Amino acid sequence: MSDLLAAENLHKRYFDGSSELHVLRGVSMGVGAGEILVIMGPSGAGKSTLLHILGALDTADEGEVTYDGLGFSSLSGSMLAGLRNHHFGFVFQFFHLLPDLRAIENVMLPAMIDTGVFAWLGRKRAVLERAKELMELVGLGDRMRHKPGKLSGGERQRLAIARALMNRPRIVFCDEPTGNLDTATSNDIFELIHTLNQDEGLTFVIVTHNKQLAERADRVLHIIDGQIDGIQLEPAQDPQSDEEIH
Amino acid sequence: MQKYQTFIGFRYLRTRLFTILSLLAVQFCVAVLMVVLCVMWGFDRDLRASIRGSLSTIIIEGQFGDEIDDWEEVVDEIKNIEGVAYSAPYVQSLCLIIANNVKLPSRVKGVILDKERTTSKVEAYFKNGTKQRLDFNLEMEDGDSLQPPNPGAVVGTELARNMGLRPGTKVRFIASRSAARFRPDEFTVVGSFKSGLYDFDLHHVYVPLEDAQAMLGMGDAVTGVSVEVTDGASPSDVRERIKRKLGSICRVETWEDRRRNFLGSLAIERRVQAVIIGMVAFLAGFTILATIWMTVKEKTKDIGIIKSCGGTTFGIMSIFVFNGFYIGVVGAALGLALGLLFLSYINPIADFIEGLTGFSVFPKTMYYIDKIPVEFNVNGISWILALAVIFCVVYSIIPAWFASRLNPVEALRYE
Repeated sequence: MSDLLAAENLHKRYFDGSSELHVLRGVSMGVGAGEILVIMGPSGAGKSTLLHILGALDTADEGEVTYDGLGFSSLSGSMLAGLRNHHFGFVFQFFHLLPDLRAIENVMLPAMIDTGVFAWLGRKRAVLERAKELMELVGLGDRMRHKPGKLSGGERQRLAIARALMNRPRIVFCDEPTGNLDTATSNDIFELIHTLNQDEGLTFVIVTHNKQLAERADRVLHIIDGQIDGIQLEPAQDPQSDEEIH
Repeated sequence: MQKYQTFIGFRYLRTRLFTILSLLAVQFCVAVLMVVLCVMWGFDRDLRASIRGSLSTIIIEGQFGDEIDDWEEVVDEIKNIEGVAYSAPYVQSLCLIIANNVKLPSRVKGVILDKERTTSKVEAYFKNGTKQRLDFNLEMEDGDSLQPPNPGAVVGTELARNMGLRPGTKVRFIASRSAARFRPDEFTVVGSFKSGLYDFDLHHVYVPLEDAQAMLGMGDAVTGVSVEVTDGASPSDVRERIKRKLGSICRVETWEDRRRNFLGSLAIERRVQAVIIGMVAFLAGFTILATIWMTVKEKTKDIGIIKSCGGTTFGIMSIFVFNGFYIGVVGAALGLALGLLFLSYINPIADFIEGLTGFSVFPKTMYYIDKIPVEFNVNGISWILALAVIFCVVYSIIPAWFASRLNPVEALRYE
């Protein structure tokens, strides 16, 4: 089966004055449609950088990312923005919600980005219905008019997930989605991700330190010092074939 | 234009103290510019009127200050010239006016009122004063008109106030033209006129033409002939035509030629003012730049979030440019309202401040104008409003451009 998203020999360097930080050193990988892929590794290993490049939020210095056979390097800035809007969703550790917008307006944001001012008049009702549906799905049906500042950490993360799902993306990128939450709330988020994966066939690429979440993934990709250290098929899915590919 | 650009743009405006401050900044800048410029335009208008005084559009006088012996011939000569609408003879002389044991210098102008009204605003001046009819008779309380025993004189209101002149007061003139011609004829004040130009109202007296001629011993001669041009005619073109017709026996000038020095200094002053006001507006625009810049700084993380959800570079830029445009339009509208309100009550406000502090905001003896003049120049005000909006948009483009260039990952990391 061909990968929905594939990366080939990715390199990323940061410069701080004269010193160079080589964060990604030739990463090649693929993400299959409908799978949950977890990226793990120590701090500073390049997990988030890889996630950002895979999600078209950042660009690699070398190498190529292809989505559905389409190379990122051949796309313009606005085409990449379109990709992020229509095909990708993002969930971040610190939620990253717009504080000036109400909860439901945050969920509607990707649809507003996708719709012209005049087209909005015809589309608003459908968007609102979809946003309400998503808020019910993540258990925030009674928090629609709240500003993010009035929500708890778990609620904010669920709100961020609802926003990520607004435009029916194919892949949701999660950067430490439970990094800022307590265990019970983290479990709720895992459950939600798992349900969405099972029921809607959504693909998840998740950067996390959380071993519990990794245990429920289809595959776990380990990164150390900017290189893939190993890809592990999740034992929960296939406990007998605990194989590691080096 | 996508929905989020206006939606978020509005939301930033609604929830931000900076927005309110910059709206107030634009409002005050527009209002202050409006007040300053409308008063300056008013000054300009009144100063020009003051400099013009009773001069008609075109003045024909004898060469080298000579008298014009046969003014009717001059009037006949010019009446068919293209652009000449009306003409009126006059006699004018500097005099000392003596009444109630007070002497003041004044300019006595002898006119035929029926003709003079076609070349100057004498009729309106009379009506604004106490002289309601266009003649040199005394006006009785019952509405009757009474020919005074001596020739009538209509004096400026300020002159009347300074010398205590009332209808019926006897005045005498000592003319500067020639002491030998001085005739101690008395005139009777029959009323006062008001032009609203302090200097003019303090130093001018209208008398009948023939009495001025008699007082000055001029016979039938006059000092000059006033000419009014037809609507739309260029005064300088008409002047040239009259010059060609009359030849060198007369000196023909427009009133602007006559007051060239004053008008020249006024023009220089206006240019300097334009430069200063341009600089002030330019600097005031920086408040918008600073405000939008602060918004961009504060909203850096939001920019990352919007980009991660698919917001484009152009989209991000337009959010902040929209903010600038909105601040410009609403600020300018508020400024227009504040400016109009202030200008409508500028004189009562000046009086109120004077009553409160004893400090005279607008000493009329200094400005030769009896109240703070205001000219609502629609074109000029439209320019102020348009420039306010343009400045706001232009100044918001710079921070908006920087905002739109932000890398989403760096923006998301921003604390």
